[in-house]
Amino acid sequence: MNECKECGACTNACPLNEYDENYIVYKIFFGPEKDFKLWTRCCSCFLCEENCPYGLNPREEIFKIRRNSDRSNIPPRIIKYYENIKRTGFVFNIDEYVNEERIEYGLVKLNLDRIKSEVNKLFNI
Amino acid sequence: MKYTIFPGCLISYRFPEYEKSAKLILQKLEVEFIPVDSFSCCGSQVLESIDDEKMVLLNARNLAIAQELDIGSIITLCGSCTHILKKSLIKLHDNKILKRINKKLRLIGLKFFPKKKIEIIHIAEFLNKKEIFQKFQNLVVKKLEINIAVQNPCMVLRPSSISNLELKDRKIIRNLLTSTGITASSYRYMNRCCGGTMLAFDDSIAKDLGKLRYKELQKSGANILAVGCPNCQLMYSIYQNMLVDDVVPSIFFTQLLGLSIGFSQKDMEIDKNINTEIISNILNNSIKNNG
Repeated sequence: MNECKECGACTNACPLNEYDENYIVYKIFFGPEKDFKLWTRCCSCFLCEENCPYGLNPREEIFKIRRNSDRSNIPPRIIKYYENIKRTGFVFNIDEYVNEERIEYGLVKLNLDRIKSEVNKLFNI
Repeated sequence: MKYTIFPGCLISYRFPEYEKSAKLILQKLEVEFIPVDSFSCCGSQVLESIDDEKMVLLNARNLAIAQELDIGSIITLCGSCTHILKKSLIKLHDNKILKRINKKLRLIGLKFFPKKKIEIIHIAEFLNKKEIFQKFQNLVVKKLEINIAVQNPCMVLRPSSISNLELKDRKIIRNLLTSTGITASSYRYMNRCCGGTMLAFDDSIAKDLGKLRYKELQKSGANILAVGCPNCQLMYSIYQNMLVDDVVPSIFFTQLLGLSIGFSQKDMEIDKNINTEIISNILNNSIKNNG
């Protein structure tokens, strides 16, 4: 794997750096310390990866940090959404009310029972 | 070839007008459309952040369901769904992963076949396919006198290793709209992310990112913003209205395309938009000017 040369291309491209100039992407993801406090700081846009002249992928690094992180670091809303996925197959609350609206719009009625029962099985619920 | 639309969760939950307008366009283009009632959501960056094996599993189920119905092309509407489905599909071509996943899918009577070709394609990219684009041009009956800015969905454009889109193709939404006679202003954030994914992770940062964008949007001179992702629409409709006084209303690009091929404002569910009054005024004036 190529090494980070700290050229700053990722940082210049990152929307989070535009918001907070102290958010130096390469220091965070390729520096010696992985900072779990920064769990939330990525809008998932791939501009860092796309702009890295050395083919590195800072976005994937933050997702690795997230996946290796302790449960206590995960924002509560993300835990809630994760539980929704396991329980229902959807991040948001998709219920019969949503289905009624879908029918009004001429969209296919979702088979929520099938989705729920199959997803529950896959997630061992 | 058989086609379907992947609705995802945010579209069903908040923006069914996007799915409806896309579906009506596909039907007018006479593509063989198969409705699927049993897709879950893609899991989005929520699942990608917590458990990537489960992300592949959830979407292997979606892909296997499509394969069972002989669907060759899943048309996506959301940037996140596009990326997560494409990524899962790539991972399913790794034999080790495939074995593990198919073992789990057996529990629910499904199987993913890596050799059975299935394509994931965002609606904007689909409509830009040469033969579809041609066919679409022949359907255009109305020129909307509006000036748009575009917010492209990041995860459709990038990463180029997965998206297959060359840099020059990154005007996919703008090209479609201007081909109907609509004019376009340049917008600084067109290819630079709306920040919408931050809403789930830290909404205070998302709001600040939004404010940077709304200011630039004002400067762009556009009277309508066209989006191609429900996360962008959330940022530019509900959050823009919450955070600034003078909004540039935002609408799904498929709703505008639908109007240009003769669907009514009712068909395109313009009423559903949070800024329905402003948008209807702009559209009605446009039609008047048009004779």
